Amino acid sequence: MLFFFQFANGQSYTAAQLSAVVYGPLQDSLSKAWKCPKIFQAKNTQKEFAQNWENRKAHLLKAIKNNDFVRDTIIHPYISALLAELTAANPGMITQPVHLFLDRTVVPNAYALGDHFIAINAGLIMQARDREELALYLAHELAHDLLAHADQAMKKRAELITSEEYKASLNDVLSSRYQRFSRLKKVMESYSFDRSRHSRYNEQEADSLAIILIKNSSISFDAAYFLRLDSVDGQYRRPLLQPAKDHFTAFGLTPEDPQPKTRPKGLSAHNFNFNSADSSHTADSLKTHPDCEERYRHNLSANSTPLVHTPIPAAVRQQAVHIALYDMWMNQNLGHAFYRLFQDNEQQAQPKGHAFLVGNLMYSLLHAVQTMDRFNSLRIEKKEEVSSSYFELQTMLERAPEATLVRYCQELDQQFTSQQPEQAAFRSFCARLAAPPTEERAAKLKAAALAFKNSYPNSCLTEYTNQFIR
Amino acid sequence: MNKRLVQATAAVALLCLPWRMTAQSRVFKEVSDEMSSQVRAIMQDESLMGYVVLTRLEKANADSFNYRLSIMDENLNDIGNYNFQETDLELQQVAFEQNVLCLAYLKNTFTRPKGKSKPPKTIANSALWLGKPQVAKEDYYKYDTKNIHSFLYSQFLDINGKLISTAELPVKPIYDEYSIYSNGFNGSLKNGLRITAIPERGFAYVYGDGPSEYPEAKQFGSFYLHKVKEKDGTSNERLLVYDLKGQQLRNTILPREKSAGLSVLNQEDHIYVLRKKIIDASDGGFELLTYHLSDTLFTRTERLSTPSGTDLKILSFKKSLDKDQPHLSGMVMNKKYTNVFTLPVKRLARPVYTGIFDIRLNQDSTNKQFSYWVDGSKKGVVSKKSYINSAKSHGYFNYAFDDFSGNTYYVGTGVHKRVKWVSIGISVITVLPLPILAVLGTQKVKFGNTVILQQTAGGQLKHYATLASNNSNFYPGRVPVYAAKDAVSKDFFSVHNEDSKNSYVVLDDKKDIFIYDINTQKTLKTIPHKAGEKHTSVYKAKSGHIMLSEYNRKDKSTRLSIESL
Repeated sequence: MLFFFQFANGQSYTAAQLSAVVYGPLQDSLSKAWKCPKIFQAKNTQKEFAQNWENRKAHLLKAIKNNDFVRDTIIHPYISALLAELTAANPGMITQPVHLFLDRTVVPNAYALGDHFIAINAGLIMQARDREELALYLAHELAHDLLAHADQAMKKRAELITSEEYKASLNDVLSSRYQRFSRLKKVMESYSFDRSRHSRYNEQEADSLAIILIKNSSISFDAAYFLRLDSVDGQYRRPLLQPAKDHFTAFGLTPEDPQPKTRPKGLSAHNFNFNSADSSHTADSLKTHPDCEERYRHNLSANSTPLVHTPIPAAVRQQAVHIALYDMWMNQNLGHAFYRLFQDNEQQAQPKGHAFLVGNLMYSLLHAVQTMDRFNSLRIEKKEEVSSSYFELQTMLERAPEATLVRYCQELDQQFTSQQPEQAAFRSFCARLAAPPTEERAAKLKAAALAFKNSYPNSCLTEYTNQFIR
Repeated sequence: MNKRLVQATAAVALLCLPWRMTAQSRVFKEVSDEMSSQVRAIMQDESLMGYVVLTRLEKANADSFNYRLSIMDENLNDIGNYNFQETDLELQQVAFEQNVLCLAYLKNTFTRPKGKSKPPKTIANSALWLGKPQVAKEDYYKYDTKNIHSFLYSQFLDINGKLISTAELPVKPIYDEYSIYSNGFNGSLKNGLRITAIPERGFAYVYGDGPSEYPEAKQFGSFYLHKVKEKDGTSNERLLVYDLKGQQLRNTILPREKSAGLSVLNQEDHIYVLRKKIIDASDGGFELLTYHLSDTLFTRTERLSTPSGTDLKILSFKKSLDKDQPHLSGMVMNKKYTNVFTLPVKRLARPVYTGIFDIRLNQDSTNKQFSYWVDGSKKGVVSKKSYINSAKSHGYFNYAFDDFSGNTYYVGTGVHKRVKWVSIGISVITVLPLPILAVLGTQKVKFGNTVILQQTAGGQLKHYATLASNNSNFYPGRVPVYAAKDAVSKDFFSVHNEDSKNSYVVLDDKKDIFIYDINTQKTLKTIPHKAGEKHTSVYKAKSGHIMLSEYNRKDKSTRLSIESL
């Protein structure tokens, strides 16, 4: 019921559920309570370890302050219940309460920060097929936490960096007249190799313990989940079922032909050997995780019989989509946001809230164009790294002149009807962006943003309007 | 699952750790100090195809360095790398044709100096700083220029970074014998290298080496911090042609002339070399040399002037957008004012130029169009005295370009001359009017607004637009133009959208960047260079786009963005 109320409002969460507010009071106590233990006799090693510890704490506190997490009323209780089930089934192993964060980002990820803090992100919830798959991801992070892998990594780093061997290798670089960069690179690579080797070992260890945690809780385990991890980065390589242009048409827009009239000049239009140029390719020795196939084969024998697949409630999945899309919007990752929105549209036939969001994204793009920030907002991708649908969408958004974007915004506004005063107020705020950017407009936007904040202080949309107040 | 976090943490750790410990700080600083990068745009005619970044990584041995060449497309995406070892290299130009990249370097072999020394003070240095001798803060390395051997070194690569071939030719650059770096020194060719792609065939180079012949180089020698040493020998200017495999097809010495600049373009079988001859420090003295790709005997030299023999000042030598033919445009000079930069600024309110021209070159014919105002025939647009009525100013034009419809535009800065009533008033109320007027002068000049003239494809002259720019302060009328150079001669470049056929002019002014939309004759955007901690610079980019580089002083970070107009 709550879910339907929230989506009818076009809101997936409220401003009060964002981490800066919801965990705000905890920040001081966390800062004080999370003290670095004394574990090394050697002063410099302990100092290095303490520094790493403080960095980790600062990283978490900054993430909370930046609203990287949200404690919503749909996903958080669902995941917490799953976590509670795992905890309750393993009382001998899990003795301390575990703190769960829901990360708003879209690229599937979960992580253990150490000291019983674990996080799972919206992208992973979107990616998971069933409850059991989510349980595996949670159990895996719990295992990292139980095995203190994060702390161990910090310890190892402190030991390595303060070791005589490491210092000697650096001094060797300094004392050499030639090939200094190559020598330093070698030192760093051996360090990375050592770290990656340990990381891969830790992952295997976490997998094994995760399976035990799951089996203790009578949740079904399927090794095939590991195979699905291979596809986490391929979202933009998956083509849309319909052309991107048709998606805009479905929202009441008459988009211009994205295809350029003349053949674009530039090296991107020429053929090149994509594999040799792929700078994102990671050498096998530097991979932090074992291959998915290997993880699958290694754990296949532990498969539950029979395999149970409990669907994730539609409300949870839809909430994850909204959180991720809003996060992309707020972080001006507009090209990706449009594409994920269209992908979701194809899966769910224009879910509620998307008509509102597509207009917001278009206004944000218009604002980016006005502030000469379109390139970074679209994060132009190589055509070889994305599907033809993505490239079509990217081309269309990249080439659209400002006047065309104003028209798009106005057309989307005309088509958009909402019974919610908050949405209507937000769109009338956005409509001011269609005017040419002047100092007068900036003042009007600031006043309108303040008025919106006063009228709807609990709206998650204030996260967007606040930038105009600043 | 925590792959990305681990990767990110590791990256942060790798970056941050070195700065926390002395030994590591030192090693990272020393290694990074040894590294340096050069970025060059990859051009094919007037189109920007991508970028290359040449990074000198480290000393590989006593004589050479390890380099990494990164090739990026026009959206700054990496598409290839090439690692190699060479002696001291200075990347000059990059061209592109048929999936082949042509990179030309100035390559030097030399004995590395051992000790540091202070460069000698020169009288010129002392004079320049009004009696305060300029003392170099850094210690300098002194090179023995006799033992420096230089080459024009070319690499031909495919766009993935695979080497096809290399070529090398000895050259005689001008050296600065003092450098703050032990790893390299400042050397330059007398006439900088220019390369043009020859469609489906290869690349044509022009350059000049040997000692500088430009009189101003000696006259303004005081601008150099150190004494410039020239290698012995005479100047040479050459035209080289390489095929797509890097084979040299032609090595022609241009007819001997004292010259200050060269440029090159190709049209089918012809190669056009534009040369600026040195004639009494005049702004004119341009000539066009024509060569045939296969007929080595065919040459043609044409002095660029009006039919009556008045010199032309070339502002643009590019392929035209409408016909893809070499196109020259610029100003018709006034015989009275041959070198504008040495004139007092108040003279810019006189007809220092008498008209404009554009010349279109074809293999078989040359189409020349002139519009003169000095004869009073363009009274409604530009007066006899070069006053542009509708702009309410004179204009100093230093940039020209053409559009997709064959119109040519002449872009410059408005010159506003005023009477100095204050100095006249003082001279009237004091007993020494003449000496006061002699000291203070009676006129002042300020520069502001961008003035654009248009010569249509049919040869009609129009005042096209006057658009906002940063206004200068008033300069006393007697100040020479070169002293007000930044206010007078501004940095313009044009951007063309091949799809919409629209053209834009970008003015990189003192305080702001102005983007003018030529079709609507309006200022499209004004971007301040400084906004809080951010400093924005503008560069050319792919068709219809500009590149903005935003440096954040607080974060010490640079953000690049390629924006469509």
